[in-house]
Amino acid sequence: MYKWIAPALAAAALTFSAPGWAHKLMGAGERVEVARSGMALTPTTDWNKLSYRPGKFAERWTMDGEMLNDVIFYTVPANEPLLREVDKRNRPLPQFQANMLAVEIPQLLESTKRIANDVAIFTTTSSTPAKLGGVDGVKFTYQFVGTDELRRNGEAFAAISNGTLYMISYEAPEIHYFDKDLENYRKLVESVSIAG
Amino acid sequence: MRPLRHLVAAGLCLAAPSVASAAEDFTIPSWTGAYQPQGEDERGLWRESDEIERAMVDSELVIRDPALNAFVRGVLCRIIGDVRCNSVRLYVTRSPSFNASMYANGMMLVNSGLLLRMRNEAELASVLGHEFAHFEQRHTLQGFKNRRAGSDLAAWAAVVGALAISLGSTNATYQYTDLRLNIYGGIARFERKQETDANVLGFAYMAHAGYRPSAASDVWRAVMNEADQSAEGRKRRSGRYDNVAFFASHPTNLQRADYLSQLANRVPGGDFDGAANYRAALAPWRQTFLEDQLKLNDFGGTDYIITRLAGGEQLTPDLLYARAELYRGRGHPRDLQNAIPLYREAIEKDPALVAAWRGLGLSLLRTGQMPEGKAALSTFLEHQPDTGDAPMLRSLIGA
Repeated sequence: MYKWIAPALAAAALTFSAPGWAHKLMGAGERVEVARSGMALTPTTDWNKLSYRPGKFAERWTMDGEMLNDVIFYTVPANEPLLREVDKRNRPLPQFQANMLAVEIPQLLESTKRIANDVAIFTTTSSTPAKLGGVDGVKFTYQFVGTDELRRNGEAFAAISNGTLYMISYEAPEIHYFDKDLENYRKLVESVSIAG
Repeated sequence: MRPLRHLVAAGLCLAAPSVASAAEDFTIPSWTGAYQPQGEDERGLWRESDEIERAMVDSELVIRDPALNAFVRGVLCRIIGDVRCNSVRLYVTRSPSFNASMYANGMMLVNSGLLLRMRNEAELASVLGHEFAHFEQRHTLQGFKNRRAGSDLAAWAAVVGALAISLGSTNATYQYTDLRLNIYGGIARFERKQETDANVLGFAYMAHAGYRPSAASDVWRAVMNEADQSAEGRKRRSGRYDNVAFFASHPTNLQRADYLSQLANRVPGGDFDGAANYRAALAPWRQTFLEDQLKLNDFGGTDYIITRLAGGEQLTPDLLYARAELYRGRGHPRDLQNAIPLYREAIEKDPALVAAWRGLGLSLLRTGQMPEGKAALSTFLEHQPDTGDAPMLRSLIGA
């Protein structure tokens, strides 16, 4: 039976030593392109970019760790899911469709989180027209309880341009963290430009 | 707090296997009364279950609605009697999957996804009775003893897994899970025998309470049909039901359904279904549970659930609305066309179902029927001017 320990330790060692583990400091004042796309922005404070991408068309930034303040940039082409599939065969994620209306984006994110993160309670609390990078879109706020049973708040800006969904979401525990970094996140959103 | 997903996995989950050779004695054994755990294994197991239960007591995922809890508990108490029932604490949890579990210390978890899928008291009773039978026969303890040899190793795997998770690697999480599956696979066969024993005792409870015994096989056939429809909706082949998989701690669903049918023919049960009671008790929650299911991106499975709930009758307004939302959620052009008449029919049958105006309006807009779509959204906003996305909807209709 103990033969299982060796492969497990080996797998762990590989995981720790992989070069992909180097997270990157995103320094204040530097213009950067995010999520391999036409979306660019300039942080006004230092952020950390996590090297492990949450999806093929997504990129994750944080200040204190993604459990405490989690910013995700999405640039999703049509017929692709927002995040990496957790179990494509049995629990496939919903896909962004080019004919979706901006008002339907909150539900797309909700459905994605319910499947990918096992979120059982999710409420969209508001949804208003807003611009992202000069493109007309939607700003929405939400609350959810995930498997760690911590209540988190979220705010996201999304816009659809040339059949691509551009979105920036910010999620943090309702207690302390959400309010602490909300302004920093909003400054990121304000600095966004979308090319194409 | 431990994630609910893990809590459920840790319990004796209801899911699939076991066949044959049980002594089919449908008499209910005498109840031993207030039982206290014996020996260090059992005491440890109870303590562990108590720890999990402490987390449930203030969990946001537990549905506290007194009426719903009283109803589910009422069905359980009806089949096992008040004396046995006093040993159970029952928690209804907000989780859309089909599941119920029983812990060693008498804690029973019932998922909202299970309540959504049942059509009558008899079906619910068959599942609750089965879970309680595990408790009465102390299967958790036997399973635990059998499992201990493997669990030292599982503890090692947990350490490695936790290290990797703390560094943020989802891949390592998967590796840990795989390792755990392999270890547990070795002890899984043991539990199939327990499943059969629990089925026999479960039937005895049902028969005693006068419920229709064949409801039990209805449940398992529905599980298989839903899985088939789910697979078809995802354009893949369905899993086979006649093989016992390596990690199947329960009999396959086909074996279970066949076996339950045979048992149902032998047990001297009643014919009480309690369909009307069940519908009334679930009415305040059905819309919420349906919405949870609709957001799982499972077109085929959800469509099957809607059809089954209708029970061969015309779809009720809430089911019409649910099916319309299902189509709009998938969102192919033909789906949007199909959703429109469903929304209209739902509104016609129940004008109080104002959410249907929202779905109707969005579907019309997405199919290019602008004036009609805007009119539908206006009607929705007249009824619900303060809804969360009202500003977004107003911008769509140019108001």
